[in-house]
Amino acid sequence: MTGALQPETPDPSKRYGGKSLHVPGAGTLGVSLLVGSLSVLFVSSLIGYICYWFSFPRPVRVHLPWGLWLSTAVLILSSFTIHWAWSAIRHDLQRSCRVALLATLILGITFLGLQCWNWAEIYGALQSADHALKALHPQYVSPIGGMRMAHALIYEKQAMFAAFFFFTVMHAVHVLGGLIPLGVVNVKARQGIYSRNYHPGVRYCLIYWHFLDAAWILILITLLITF
Amino acid sequence: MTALAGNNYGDTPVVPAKPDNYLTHGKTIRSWLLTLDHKRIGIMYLVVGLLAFFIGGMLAEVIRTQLLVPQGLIFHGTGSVASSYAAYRYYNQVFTLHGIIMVFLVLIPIIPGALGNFALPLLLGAKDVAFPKLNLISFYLYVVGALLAILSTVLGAVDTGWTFYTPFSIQTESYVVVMVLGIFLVGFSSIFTGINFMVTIHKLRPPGMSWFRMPLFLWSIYATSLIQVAATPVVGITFVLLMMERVMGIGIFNPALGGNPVLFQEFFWFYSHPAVYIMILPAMGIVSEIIPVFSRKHIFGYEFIALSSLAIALIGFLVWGHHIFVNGQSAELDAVFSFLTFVVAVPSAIKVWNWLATMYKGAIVLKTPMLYALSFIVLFTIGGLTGVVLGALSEDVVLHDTYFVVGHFHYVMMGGTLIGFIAGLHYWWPKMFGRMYNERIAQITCVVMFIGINLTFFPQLMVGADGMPRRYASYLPMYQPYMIASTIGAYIQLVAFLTMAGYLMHSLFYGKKAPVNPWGGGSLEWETSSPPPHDNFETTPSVGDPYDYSDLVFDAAVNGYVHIEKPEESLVPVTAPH
Repeated sequence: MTGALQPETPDPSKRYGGKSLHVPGAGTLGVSLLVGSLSVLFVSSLIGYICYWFSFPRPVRVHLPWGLWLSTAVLILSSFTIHWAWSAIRHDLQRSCRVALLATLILGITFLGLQCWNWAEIYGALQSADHALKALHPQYVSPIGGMRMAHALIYEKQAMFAAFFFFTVMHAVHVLGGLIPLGVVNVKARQGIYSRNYHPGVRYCLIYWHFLDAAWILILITLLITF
Repeated sequence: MTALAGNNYGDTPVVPAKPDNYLTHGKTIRSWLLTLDHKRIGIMYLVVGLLAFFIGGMLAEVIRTQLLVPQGLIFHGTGSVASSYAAYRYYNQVFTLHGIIMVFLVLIPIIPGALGNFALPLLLGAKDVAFPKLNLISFYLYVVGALLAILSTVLGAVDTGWTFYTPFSIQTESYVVVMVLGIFLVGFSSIFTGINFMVTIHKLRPPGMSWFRMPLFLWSIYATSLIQVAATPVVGITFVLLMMERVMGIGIFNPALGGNPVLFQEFFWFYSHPAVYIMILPAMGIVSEIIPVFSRKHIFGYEFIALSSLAIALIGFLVWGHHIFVNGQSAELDAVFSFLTFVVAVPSAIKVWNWLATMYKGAIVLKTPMLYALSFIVLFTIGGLTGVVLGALSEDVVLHDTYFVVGHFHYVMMGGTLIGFIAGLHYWWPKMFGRMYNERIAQITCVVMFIGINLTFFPQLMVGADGMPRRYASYLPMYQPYMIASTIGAYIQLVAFLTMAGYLMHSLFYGKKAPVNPWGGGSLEWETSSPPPHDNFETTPSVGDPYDYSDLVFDAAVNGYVHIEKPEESLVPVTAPH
């Protein structure tokens, strides 16, 4: 894809000269604006969810899987490692920058794996709760009496499951979207492209990763309060 | 860099080489489709946007033809209620598609996408936008989104209205998911364009161009981009939830599943009201460029016009509740939103007053761009003031969902955004393609357009005040005179638009060669040739006051304006742009 987007002429005297037009500070501002835009996305959906949650009483409580704490720890750790990579490259410590970037990449992938496990966990918990509900309410499957109540409970559960699923998947999609450039930055760091004075990729990843961390903590707090 | 690119100095050719411009720079289709040149991307936006506008406009003509007779001329039943119901569903699909195409594929992207992309780096004296690749990606996201919207129509259309209100949009058996996915992608495109333009304005201003020496079009694009970046994610998430609602049945917006349909309206309008300013602000910027040029007079109240753009952008975020006055919002909230709605009218009024003051005692030249800019002022004022009428609580309760609302937003969108766009198109057309269009025909077309728009939309205001609801496929016979007038107006507009398409296409092939500066503009895009070379500027242009026309005089030899040596005393540097 990027190969196809080369300028029309290979003449190096033309603009971009094989590289993209480099404007000092433009990339950082661009990434910051993107992060600002994505923050609006997360904050507005959290506000929407809270409004939704407040407008109806919630009779069912769903326990969050304990694996969430594990994934939170992993994500916070990765925020530290990316910061380590950034400060390393600013002191021209190539090797420790590469190690830290690799660590961040691995931690990011681990986070996604843990999230998959959490989804399986909460889905299983809801399934067993459904079975328990059916056992408690024999009329659950019957069209007579109690139906409305049982249905309401099911909808509650579905809604809670949907909210959990929605926020964690939305966050995971953004983690996935961050892992791809992080992979590229890893490769570039191994090629020794970055130096003390030139390391835009590392800085962009740093900004984005801190954003992922902050968004996750906001989501976690909201889920802890509402579930 | 340019000296290397066009190396005619070392070995002088016998026949002088044809000057290279961005249109002739690469001739293959690939050199267009994969271009990173902001001017070419702008032209591609223009082509796709005008294509969408053609489809949307034809749908509008279908709507107006349907409403010629009370029972409906095109979609009507065979007598029974059931058959009417079946026929009117097609009408619902037509107006839905008209709204979606016009709002999401034409009004929102066309000025930033086409004219913004073309003019923004030129106005900055820059070689390109800050992120040329991102710019191309934005364009293709827009195209893919537009194709998905068309696909949903081919599959079986959408009948929700452009607002996609729940719970109907969850229940209706139409291709809402495909349509919404398309708009989601267009939203991405919008965000990327916004980020790109904001960074460009921050980082690529030439030395000497401080924030308050920028052309006003840049201010309006900046304010627009701010809204695009901050508001579009909200509609993105709303549409993701709507898709999940339809596909997975999650029940956030569906009252049958314990959800809250009003929440959808809040979310939708939190984006879609600021989106109104995404549409109108760039048009205001264009008018701010045109009025001083054709009044041969410095813009009046530069800072006020510049800052009122930002004020509109910021206050625009706080007024979304006025779309949903009648949905059960508390009276206190209604009052707050009503008040803020009045407040947001103030910066727009500031702009109008400053334009009028600019024209006052100016040497007004009624060329086509100026005629459109004047039409903009009149039509936008009608649109804006009817908006204030709707912002008043008690009146809104009566006028809600009537044709008054339709008339109001068509005055703003059609008379504001679209006329602003056409003004800009005529203003920059010589720069874009290096050809002049037939001035006389263009002026007549503008007058016809002005009559057509008023004849279409003013009766809608009246019939709305009489109580006719919007979105109805049939109506009571008492409304017919208004409806006939409105339909005639729509046909007049069609004639005007077709004429415009005709003379603009004609000018591409047979038009007179455009001079460097046909209108006598003082901003930097008039320093380069028409059309500009691939690299925009042979030498870096020197930055002055963009609204100082004192050193520009008309030269009949080149049929355009040229710089003259200023008298000695006026060379004293001007510190403030007054």
